[in-house]
Amino acid sequence: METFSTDIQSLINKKIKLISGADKSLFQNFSQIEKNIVDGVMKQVKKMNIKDGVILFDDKNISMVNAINKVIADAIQDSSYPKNVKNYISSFDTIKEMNVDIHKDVNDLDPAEIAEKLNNVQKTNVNNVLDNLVRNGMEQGFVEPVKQGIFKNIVGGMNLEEFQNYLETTILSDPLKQGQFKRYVTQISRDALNQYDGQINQLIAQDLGLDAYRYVGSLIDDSRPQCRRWVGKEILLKDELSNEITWAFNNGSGMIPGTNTDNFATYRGGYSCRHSAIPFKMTKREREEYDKMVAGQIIEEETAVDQQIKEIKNDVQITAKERAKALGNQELDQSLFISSQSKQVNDSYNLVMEGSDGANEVANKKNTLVTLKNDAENRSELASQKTLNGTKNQGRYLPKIDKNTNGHCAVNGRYMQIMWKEGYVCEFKPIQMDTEFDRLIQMEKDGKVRIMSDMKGDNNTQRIIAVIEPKTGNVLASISKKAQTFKWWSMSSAGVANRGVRNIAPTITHESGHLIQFDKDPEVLFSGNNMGGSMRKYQLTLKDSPTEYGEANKKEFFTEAYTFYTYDRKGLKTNHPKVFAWFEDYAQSIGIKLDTIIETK
Amino acid sequence: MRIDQIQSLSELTEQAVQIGDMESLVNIYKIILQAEIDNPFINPEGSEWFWVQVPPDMWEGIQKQAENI
Repeated sequence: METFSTDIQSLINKKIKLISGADKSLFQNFSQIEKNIVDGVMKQVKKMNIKDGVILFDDKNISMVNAINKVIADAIQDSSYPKNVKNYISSFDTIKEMNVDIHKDVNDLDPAEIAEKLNNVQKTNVNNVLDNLVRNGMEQGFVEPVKQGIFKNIVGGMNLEEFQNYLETTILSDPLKQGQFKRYVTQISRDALNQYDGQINQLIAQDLGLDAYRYVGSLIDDSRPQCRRWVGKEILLKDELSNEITWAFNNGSGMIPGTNTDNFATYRGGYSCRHSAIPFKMTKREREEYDKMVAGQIIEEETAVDQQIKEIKNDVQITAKERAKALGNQELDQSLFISSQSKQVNDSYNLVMEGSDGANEVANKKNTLVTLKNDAENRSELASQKTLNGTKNQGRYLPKIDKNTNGHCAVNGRYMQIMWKEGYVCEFKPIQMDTEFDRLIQMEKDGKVRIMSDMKGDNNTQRIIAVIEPKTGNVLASISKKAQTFKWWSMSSAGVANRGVRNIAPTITHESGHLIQFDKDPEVLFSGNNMGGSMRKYQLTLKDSPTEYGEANKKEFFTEAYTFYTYDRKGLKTNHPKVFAWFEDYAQSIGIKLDTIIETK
Repeated sequence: MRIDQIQSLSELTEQAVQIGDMESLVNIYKIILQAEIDNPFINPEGSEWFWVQVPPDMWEGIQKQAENI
């Protein structure tokens, strides 16, 4: 797109510079102007009735305060302020002339005709500004508030010295704050020239039916988002303005309320905006060129998005592969899997194993025989052995699962067996391990179980509480509590889950924990020094296990913590914080990625 | 953004959520954010699909990681 000619660009820059700097003329010798006001008022106040230094509140003084308006007006008149205002006002003329030159070139307009059109705008703006800077506006906006302040202080019984301090603080500016007069003049002049310039552009745009704006002016660190956006776009079509203004209100800052397409050139990017929106008519060729450029930008953006999508696709694939690898998300080699259960149960089993860091992968690697056996099958070793006939695992040893055990994992993962009892479920869901006992106690109250306790004779431990099914007399669980903490402790995490909610999932997780630890830290099968050293770092002993079963040895300590970490991570962190911290540290130290141990949800 | 791009991003979001791929989710969010800044009105589909698909805890994580965008 063609931009403005160098001459016009230079003229626009000059105009922006003039607008930015014009108010400097207003503030020439301003400290002297302020001093004049203070001196004038003090001279008047000193003529008032004063007793013991205190300005009296009497008729004479009230009348003198009422005459303060004229005193202030005279003080200002006797300063350089009138000359400053005159210089400032002359900028309105210069800006008009500059705009005539700009639009003569940009919109091919007749200079005399433009100047004629702009006369009214100039007259109105100059009148408004003069009114505010020297006439009624100043009277209302500055003099009257000062007079009220003086009046209040005299009523309040201020002495002369205090009054002088008050007046100086109110009127005189210093590097840290503006005095009241300077503040007022700043407020009036701040946007006056900018908006006057904007009104000129607005008038020309409307009068000539111009359909586009060039948004010009430099950017600084503090430039608002909308100004950055519009300077970046360079051209704003009139058709786009409504959307752009909405964008600015939603995403930008400092917009003047009421800004719309009809007054955009006047208000532009908001309060104190130093940019100009110069209207112009787009030729057919320019419009085609613009549309082409925008289309090109869209294609460029779309191509960039395509590229980004491609990269994300690759990233997701890589992450999925890595995760699958880490999770051992491959299925167990079917020749290793002996199950008499339904597909649904087998799927549930697999789901639990997938939640355990790489368990299936380890089982495949170690050639671990995995069984899901019911009672009947467990009673007959033959049933399992028979299944192995004709496979590469024929003749391999698969022991019975002890009647008091829910499952087991042979040293070094030769086999992993799970007992599937009637009515059990396999649900990978949260279990509040530490409070599951409360539920058992409630079950006893409800007559669903009987609980038997047996004192160990140790002051610290009241233990072996058997949970018995009332109808059959079968022992459902053995749990204990430590009297010291009065917190129930489970015999084992799996025990709680099995006997309490009849969920076999924690048993599977517990056994898979063995499988994984044997693989990652095989040294645990011998001295267990590596794990022992890690526990010592956290001042942990086996007695700190979250369950009594975990106190048996380091292997069970690990798997019990592992099971808690899977099913009741919050409980482990809250009730056994040292074990929690140790577990995360140790697991990572042996190469388990924590995010591959899926927490039940 | 084109509709097919939004569809691709939606599918990728679903996959990334499933495998907990936060980095990709943050990158998808960056694209949405940029698209909305560039073109707030010409995106009829909006980006509700993203917030529908991303669970609240992940969304918190994305926001944290995207703070410097």
